[in-house]
Amino acid sequence: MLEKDFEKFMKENLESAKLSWDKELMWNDIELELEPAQESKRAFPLYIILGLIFCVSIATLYFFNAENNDSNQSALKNKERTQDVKKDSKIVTLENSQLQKKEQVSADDLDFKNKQTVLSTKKGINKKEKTSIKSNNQENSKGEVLEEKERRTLKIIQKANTNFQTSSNDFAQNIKKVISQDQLNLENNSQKPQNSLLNLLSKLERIDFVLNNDNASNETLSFYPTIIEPIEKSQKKLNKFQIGLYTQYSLPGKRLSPISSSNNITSRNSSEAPLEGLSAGLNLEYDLTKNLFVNVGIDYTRVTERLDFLEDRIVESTTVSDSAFYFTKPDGTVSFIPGENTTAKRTVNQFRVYNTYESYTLPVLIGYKTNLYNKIEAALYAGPVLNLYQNFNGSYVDDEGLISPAQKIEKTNLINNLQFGLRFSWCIKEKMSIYSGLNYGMSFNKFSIDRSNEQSYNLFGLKIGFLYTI
Amino acid sequence: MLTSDKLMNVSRRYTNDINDAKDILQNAYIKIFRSLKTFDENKGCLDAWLSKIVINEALQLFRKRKKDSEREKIVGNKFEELSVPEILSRLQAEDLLKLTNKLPEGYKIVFNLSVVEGFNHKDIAQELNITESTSRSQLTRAKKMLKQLIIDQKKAELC
Repeated sequence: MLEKDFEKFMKENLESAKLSWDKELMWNDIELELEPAQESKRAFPLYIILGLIFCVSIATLYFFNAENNDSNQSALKNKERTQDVKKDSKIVTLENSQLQKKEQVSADDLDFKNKQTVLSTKKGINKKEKTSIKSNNQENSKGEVLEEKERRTLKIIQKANTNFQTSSNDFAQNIKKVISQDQLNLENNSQKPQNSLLNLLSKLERIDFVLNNDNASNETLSFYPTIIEPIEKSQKKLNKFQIGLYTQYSLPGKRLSPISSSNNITSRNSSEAPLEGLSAGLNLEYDLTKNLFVNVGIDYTRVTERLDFLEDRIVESTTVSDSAFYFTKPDGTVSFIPGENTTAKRTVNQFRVYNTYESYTLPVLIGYKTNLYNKIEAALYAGPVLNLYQNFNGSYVDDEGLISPAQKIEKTNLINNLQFGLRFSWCIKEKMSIYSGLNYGMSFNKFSIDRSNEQSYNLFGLKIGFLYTI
Repeated sequence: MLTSDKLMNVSRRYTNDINDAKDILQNAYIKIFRSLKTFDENKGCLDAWLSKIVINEALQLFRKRKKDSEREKIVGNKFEELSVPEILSRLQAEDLLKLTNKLPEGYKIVFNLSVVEGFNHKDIAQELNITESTSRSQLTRAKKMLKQLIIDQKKAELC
């Protein structure tokens, strides 16, 4: 028979061979296998949704803050021109001529609290003496002065909106001192006492008024001394570093996915249960702007899981038995063969093992923060967490249903996880604040301890820590 | 014949163990369902694509086994030339499959890839990480051994 014919014959027959096998069982298994894959596909929209939520939150906070600034500014101006003037009996009617406005200031203004910085245009003017500034000679410089005042006013109000309620801020403290003094003055002069807290903003409004209305009367000015912090000083304060420590307790979610044809996902899933994650870290935070910040650091995380497994195995052992048989060969010789006893022993062992996964990572986070109330600040942040080192200690259930020691992690991803978080911080001292918040680490880090499956942990936790301004 | 039967047939040709064959097919189906979107009908017919996935799964299992244990040593038996072609016509396809499965694993895979799937020796060498000459010699030996097995089978039936 020719080789070609033989090959053709074999090919045709082998292709048409009919086998009986249990298809139903296979389809059921396939269905079970495919279910997790569908779930993992859902993870992608979830990731998009989380990202969108973060972006929308940032945008909302930003616009909310911007609107507040705008509305506060317009409100301040409007109020100034209506309420404040009416409320205070000492405020006199504005004069008509803008060109012949008087700029007046009291010595108290200048000397208030060790002669802090005052309006540069008002330096050297005595409280008792009213000095008129004629605009004819100084129209150009007056225009510049007004511009400068407007600029400063805006700065004051913006600063007040963001930092007014922070006692650590020098400016706010100064304003408080001014108000205290102001109240004292008012009381001594048998004026109606002011509610300092309620009038904090109106005080700023008055400052704004003074800055924008050169025709304010001397009496008005004397009741509302103004102290203006140099703008340069406040700008320097923006770029600040903070160093901090934190700890986190988290609930881990574990994911297993196959990397080879034979895997033990089912047995591992049913026996391994992640328990808790504990993290601690050191970080450095840098304010890019008033609201934006970056945060980098070193993080140590330890995830513990419990493996509960009933190992059921049959061990065969062979021993030499007392019995033996012998037979006679055709040549007449006798052969003796000792007997053997093979016994199969079933052993059932209950295993409880605690596995630990440890990682050292480098979080690189960017965030947005804003003042909520008084000394309380809220911040949203997100960013990648880079892998530095990871290790797994413990055991797993292998393909044959036996407990095996975990293999060394060989594969390391660059990104360990993508972190999102929301934190609330409270300024407890001038340079110190403590915070607490929710943190979610969505894992990108897939590693293997059995060369058959890849695993990863998502961590959702509660973080507490502190930041110290340096 | 149903597609699943055809694919089971492919799977069964590469392994002696029916459970292994089922595992291969199951894993192949999972891959098929997950990557169905990537199938481009302009590049080839569906049957060939499905068969290729099953073959790849089988080869993956073969490679894994190869790593785990040493390959079976090839015994250089001498086979008698097949002198009765009529014997073949009497054999059932299922019998042939069983006989093919009696071949050592390396022989069986080379035989299937070459004779049934139509791979050339260059492709086989690449897939199995062996030389082309090894592929050729294994195919020759596989065919000889298979013929001998067929003769033995018939002799046993006659006795």
